[in-house]
Amino acid sequence: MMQNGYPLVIPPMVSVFQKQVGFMGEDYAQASPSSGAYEGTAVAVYLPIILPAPCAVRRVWWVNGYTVSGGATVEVGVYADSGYGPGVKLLSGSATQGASVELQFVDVTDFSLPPGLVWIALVASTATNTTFLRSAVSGTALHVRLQQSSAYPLPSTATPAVSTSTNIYLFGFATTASP
Amino acid sequence: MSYSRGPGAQHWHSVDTISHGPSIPQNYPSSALTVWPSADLAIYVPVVVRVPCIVRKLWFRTGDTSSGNYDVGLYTASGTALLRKGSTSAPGINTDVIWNCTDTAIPAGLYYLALASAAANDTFLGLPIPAPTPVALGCLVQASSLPLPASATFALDPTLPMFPVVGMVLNSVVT
Repeated sequence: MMQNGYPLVIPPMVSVFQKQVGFMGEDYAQASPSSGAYEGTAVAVYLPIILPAPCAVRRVWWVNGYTVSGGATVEVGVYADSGYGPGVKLLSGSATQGASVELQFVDVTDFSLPPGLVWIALVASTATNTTFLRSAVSGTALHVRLQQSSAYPLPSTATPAVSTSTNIYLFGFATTASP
Repeated sequence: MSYSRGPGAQHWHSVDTISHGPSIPQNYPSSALTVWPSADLAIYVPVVVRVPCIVRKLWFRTGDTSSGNYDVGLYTASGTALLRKGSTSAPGINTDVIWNCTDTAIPAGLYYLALASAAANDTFLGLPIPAPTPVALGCLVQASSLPLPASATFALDPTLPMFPVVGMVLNSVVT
């Protein structure tokens, strides 16, 4: 992918909190991410990412909060866009929630994404004693997130619904294999 | 009729970890709270350079305490040093530290701006973002790295509690 003859690259850690690909910033967020309970068992949250260039997804990741004793299985995926909503699942990775207050990676089979709009998805098998780092948007998140109930494991095709929460979680994928 | 390159293919005069860093609602960086985490630690912060540039200076700003040597540098995405000032005695407090480096042409791509400090109590302009968010934003570290190494060995530190502000100036206006 070129921009006026020059190659474009994207940051190594892709999330909605990263400039050039994500939307969270002073205009949206109320505070820096902090530990908070997950919003519901098997509720999938879909957030949009705009990729200015192609990239390879090598790992998915999320950030555990203070409480991880629920032993939830956490899954993060990437969905293709389908008319400004998540459509077909392209990839995902999952693992039992590990140590508290820690970035947790899951290796996935390398997957090449074209530039454009994609959706990242997060779901937890249980919300009991399950926390993640998250922020929130003011008033309504109608314009920046979608969600789906009974979506664990992440479905092969999303059936998103209008958001009923303002939580914006810190998760995404990495274009690097390590560290 | 002639056409100039659009603004999307240019940079501001400074490519730094604020203008090209995370979208975190801190509004403005603070120097009072960003205490260097440990002695001789190097912190590497990713920045995306969209067009070929000539790097003329590297910069950062000290906070309310400045006692130890420091080093500042620029690395490729794979960890090869392009610029390193070398271990340098402590500058004054609340000071813009600008290193007039050798003019260095770099292609577009992913780079890491690096800062290292000998003193764990020194403060720097930065974002006091609680751990482990800086790691989730792409910050990497390396212990015992003053002076900065020729080849970085990037590591993750989920306890890293700050996001330093480091930049590279693309023209020679700043003196």
